[in-house]
Amino acid sequence: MGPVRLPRYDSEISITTHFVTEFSSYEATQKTPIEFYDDIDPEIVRGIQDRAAEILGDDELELIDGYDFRV
Amino acid sequence: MTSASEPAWAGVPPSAFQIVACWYPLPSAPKHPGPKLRPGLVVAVYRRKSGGYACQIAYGTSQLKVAKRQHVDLIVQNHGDIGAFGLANATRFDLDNIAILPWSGEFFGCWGGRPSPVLGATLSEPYQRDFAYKMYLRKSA
Repeated sequence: MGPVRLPRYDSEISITTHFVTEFSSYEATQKTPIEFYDDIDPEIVRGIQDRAAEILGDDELELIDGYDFRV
Repeated sequence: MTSASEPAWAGVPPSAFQIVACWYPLPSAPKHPGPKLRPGLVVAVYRRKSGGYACQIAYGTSQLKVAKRQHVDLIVQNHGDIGAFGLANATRFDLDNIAILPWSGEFFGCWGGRPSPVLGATLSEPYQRDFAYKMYLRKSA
């Protein structure tokens, strides 16, 4: 195996351009959008659960996978 | 049974310990899921007697709060695991706020053009054991 040839950059600007391009192409390959999420608000979860309870009503639920941690 | 207005994926439930994309409400309208999708961990899957499925979900946040929450919540921060489970960032799943939701288009959505809300591989065994231990501690407290 011959000597490893490192990329050469003529100026700081070209280095910056290189990394910006690299980052953009990395971001484009991500399968999901890179987003950040606020902390979980118990009030919101209660609201979702209330809405879900309206739909589920007194429907019987049979556990088919996982752990039932309802208390 | 899935109603005609429901998407095709609603007829196929996720597995426990898969991560799915859930609609999360705005604080101003907590009973109306949306407009943003965020990851949720499927803790349990149920068959509804009237047809269709429901899931017990622990919502995810990118606010890790490692020092405060590492012993009570499930945190995925290993770079390889983040990709394998279909996450975009390190994520903490809040085990104190779990909801049972119908597996339907009102509560779940497809992220990035995926055919289903399921984001990636099932959480590996060490995470499942960690989850079981933390839930056991809650029950025995």
